[in-house]
Amino acid sequence: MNQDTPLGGHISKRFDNELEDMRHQVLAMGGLVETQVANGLRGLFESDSELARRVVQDDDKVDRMEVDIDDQCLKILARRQPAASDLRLVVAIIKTINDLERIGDQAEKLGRNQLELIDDDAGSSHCMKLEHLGNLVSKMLNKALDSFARMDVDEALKTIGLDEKINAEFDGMMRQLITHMMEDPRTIRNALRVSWCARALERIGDHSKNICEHVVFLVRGKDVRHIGLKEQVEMVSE
Amino acid sequence: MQQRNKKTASPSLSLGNFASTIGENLLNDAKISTRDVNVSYGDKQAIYDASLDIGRNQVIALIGPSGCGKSTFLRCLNRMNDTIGICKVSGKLMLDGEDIYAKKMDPVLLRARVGMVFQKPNPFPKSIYDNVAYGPRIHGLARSNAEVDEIVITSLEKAGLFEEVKDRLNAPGTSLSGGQQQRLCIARTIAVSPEVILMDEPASALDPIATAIIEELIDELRQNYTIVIVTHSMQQAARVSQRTAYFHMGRIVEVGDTNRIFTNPRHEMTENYITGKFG
Repeated sequence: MNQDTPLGGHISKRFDNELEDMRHQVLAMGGLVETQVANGLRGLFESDSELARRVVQDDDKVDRMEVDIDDQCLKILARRQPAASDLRLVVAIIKTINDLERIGDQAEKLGRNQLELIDDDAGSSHCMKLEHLGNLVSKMLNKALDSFARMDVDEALKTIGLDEKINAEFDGMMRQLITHMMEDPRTIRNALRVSWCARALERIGDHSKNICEHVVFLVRGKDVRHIGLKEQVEMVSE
Repeated sequence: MQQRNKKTASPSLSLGNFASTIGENLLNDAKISTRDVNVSYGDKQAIYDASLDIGRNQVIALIGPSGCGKSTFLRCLNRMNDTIGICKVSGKLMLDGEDIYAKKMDPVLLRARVGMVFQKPNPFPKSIYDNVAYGPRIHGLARSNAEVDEIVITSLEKAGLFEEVKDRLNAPGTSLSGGQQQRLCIARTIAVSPEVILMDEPASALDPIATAIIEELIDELRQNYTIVIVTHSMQQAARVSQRTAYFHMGRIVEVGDTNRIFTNPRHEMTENYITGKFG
C-alpha cells in the first residue's frame, strides 16, 4: 500500500479495523465484479447460455454488497466524523462501489444479450469480434482495482490512459457491425445484440476510469474528473 | 515527561519537520499580524517563531494538542500574558498596523478593542444588566443612563440572549444556565465595541444545544468582528471557522482554508492530529 494514506495508526484501534474491514469488502466486491465481467465475456465467446444465466443471477450479489458497504460508510460518517484522508477514503469508497455496481449491471447486460442471441454462425463470428475489446476492458478493470488496492496513483493514471484505446476499439467495432448490417440485413438482430455488448464493455471502461480518478482523489486529495489525461498528470505532479 | 523528551528527540518530530509554517499563514490586509513571535515562561519556551495573520471579519480556529501553545498565543493578542510575571513575549504583533506591545499602547484599552471570552463562563457576581453595563461605564462609552440601557439591550440582542432575559435583567448573572452565562459573557465583551473577539474554548463546558447556539452566534458575529477561537473540538473548528491554524509543540505547523485543512492537510502532523492518529 502507498505510504501516503496508511489506513492504520488511529488511536482508536476499532476505527482502524472498521476502515480496513471496509476496504477489504470493496476489494471483495471488485473481485466479484471482475468475475462477473469475465464470465459474461466467456458466455458470449463460448456461446455458454448456462454461464450467461448465472451472470444475470449473480448481479444480485453485487447489488447487495453495494448496499452493505454503503451502510457501513454511513455508520462511519455518523459515528466517527472522519476528516482528511479518512474522509477521502470513505467518500472514495462510496463512489467506487457505485461504479462497481454499474460495472456489475453492464456484466449482467452481457449475459442477457447472450441469452437473446440467435445461435448461428454469423452470431458467433460477431461475438468473436468482441474478444479484443473484451480483453482490453478486462485488463483495464483489473488494473483499476489493482491501483485501488495498492492506492497507487501512478498506476491509476496509466490505467486512465487505456480508456482512449477502448473508445477507439469500440468505434472501430461499430463501423464493422454497421457494414455487416448493410451488407446482410439478416444479421441485424444479432449484430444489434453484439453492438449492445460492445457498448456495455465501453461503459465498463468508463467506470474503471472513474475508479482510477477516485484513487487519485483518495491518495492526493485532488479532483481530476472531467479534464484530459495530460492535465490530470500535471495536476497530480503539482 | 521522560517519554515526551524521548519523542522530541525522535526524527519524525525533529524541528526540521515543522520549523517553518506551511500553508497560507500570511494575508493581505490582515486585522492582526504577528511575526516571529516567541513566548517563554521563565526557562520554558512556549511559542517558537509564530508568524500568523488574522483576517478581518473572519473566524480563525487555533487547534492542536494540549500544551501546544494555542492558548498562550491567543493571550498574546490582547496582552493577557502581561499579568504573568515570568512571561516574556518577543517579536512583532500588530493590530491594524499598531504595535500591540508598544509602550504607548494602554493594555486596558487594548483589551476593550480585543475582547476575550473564556472556557468557563465567568459572569461578575452582579445583575445581568450590570454585567453588560460594567464595561461601557468604566470606559466612559455612555453619557447617560439611557445610553447605557441602549448598549445593554443591543449587546444582549447581538449575543442572542435578550429575549430570554428581558424580564429579569436585575436577576444575578450567575442565576442563568451555563449556555446563557456564556452568551452573557459574550454580550459583556460586545458591549465595549471590540474589533476582535478572542475565544478560548467557549463551548467546551456546554451541552450540544448550547454549543450549537454559541456556534450560530459566532457565525453572526463574524459580520462585524474578527474572531479567533481556540478549540479542542475538530468538528467545531470545521463548522465555525474560515481558516484554521494547527499548533504543535509551540510552533504553527500549518495554516490554511478550513475546508482544505479538513479534507486535504499538507503536513503529516496536521493529518495525524485531525484524523486521531498517533503522532
